[in-house]
Amino acid sequence: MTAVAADVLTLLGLLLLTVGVYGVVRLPDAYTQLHSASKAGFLGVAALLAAASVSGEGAIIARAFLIVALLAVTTPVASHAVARAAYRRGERMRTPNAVNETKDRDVQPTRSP
Amino acid sequence: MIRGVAAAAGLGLLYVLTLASTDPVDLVMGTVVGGALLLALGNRLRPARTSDVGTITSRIAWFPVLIGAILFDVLVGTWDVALRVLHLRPVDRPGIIRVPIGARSERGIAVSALATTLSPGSVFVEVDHERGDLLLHLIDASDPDASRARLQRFYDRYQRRVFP
Amino acid sequence: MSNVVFYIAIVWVAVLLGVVVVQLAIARTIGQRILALDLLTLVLIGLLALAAGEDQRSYALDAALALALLGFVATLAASRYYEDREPFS
Repeated sequence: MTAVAADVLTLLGLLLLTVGVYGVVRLPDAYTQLHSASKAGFLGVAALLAAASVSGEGAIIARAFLIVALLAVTTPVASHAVARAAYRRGERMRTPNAVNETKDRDVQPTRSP
Repeated sequence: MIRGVAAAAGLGLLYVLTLASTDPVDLVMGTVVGGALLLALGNRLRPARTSDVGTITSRIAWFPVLIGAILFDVLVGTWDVALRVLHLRPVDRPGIIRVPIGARSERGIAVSALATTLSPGSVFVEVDHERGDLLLHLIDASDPDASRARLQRFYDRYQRRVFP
Repeated sequence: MSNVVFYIAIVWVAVLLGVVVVQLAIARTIGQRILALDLLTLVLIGLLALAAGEDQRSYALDAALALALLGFVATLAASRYYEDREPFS
């Protein structure tokens, strides 16, 4: 039973990790890649860690919990740091009709007051 | 005082989890190391006090609800981003939108940033203090006003009671 | 976990690792490169989690924990340096 659970969690983790990596390959700029990379990647790694700790002993469970908690706090900070660096250095969004409410105020009629 | 003891206990728990042993010696050692770290770092670990709404008990009671809401957001967002990555939904209008800070305190901004960035589909980019806006990058910014309303609803419903 | 799934998973994650390394090499902007580096540490943590799950010993997760911490600091320092040429201002 636990072996089946571990298999299912492993495959789920692989699927999520693959989606994350494929998103980085396919999406055009750093901003959109961030969505795919850190988030799908984070859940994928969490699933793999859960698979490792399903039938595991206390030491593995404690460390897996610690790593997941740590990643849950650090991945948003890391993504924010990358996004802010890219934004401040003026990296362009490469999608043809990307929304940008921070520049060209007159060109953006949907901007809120 | 209570806050200090809780922080020391939290650091001790971290120590014990890292060692993964519940030996009494390690428990004592963890608490001692945690307390020593707190004393050495002093006020640097504690965030600035903000005007709190509600008592500490109601905030603690609402905390699990907030965590649950964030987890739900993470699952929904992962599903959405996965479909977009796999060409099943379009990625033709991502973009940076402005979200008004509203009633958030400094700590509220930090928690909002953490929650929105943890859930896929939105990344916190920058705070614009001059105009009182948060800048968020959304993978689907085709309707900025709806996104703003959704974030405001999340704040009103779950976050305001815990981290104003 | 069963052996078949384990071998498939190890090979698959190794392939992903290779893809991320290629992505790191061909990244168009520095932001994308930092991001690929961050993803590389995530995939490595996944690989270590697989190894720990297979032989049921926790030392691989010690390495994963250290890698998670180091990767976080590395990403922060790199992006801060990219942003204003000083990692810790």
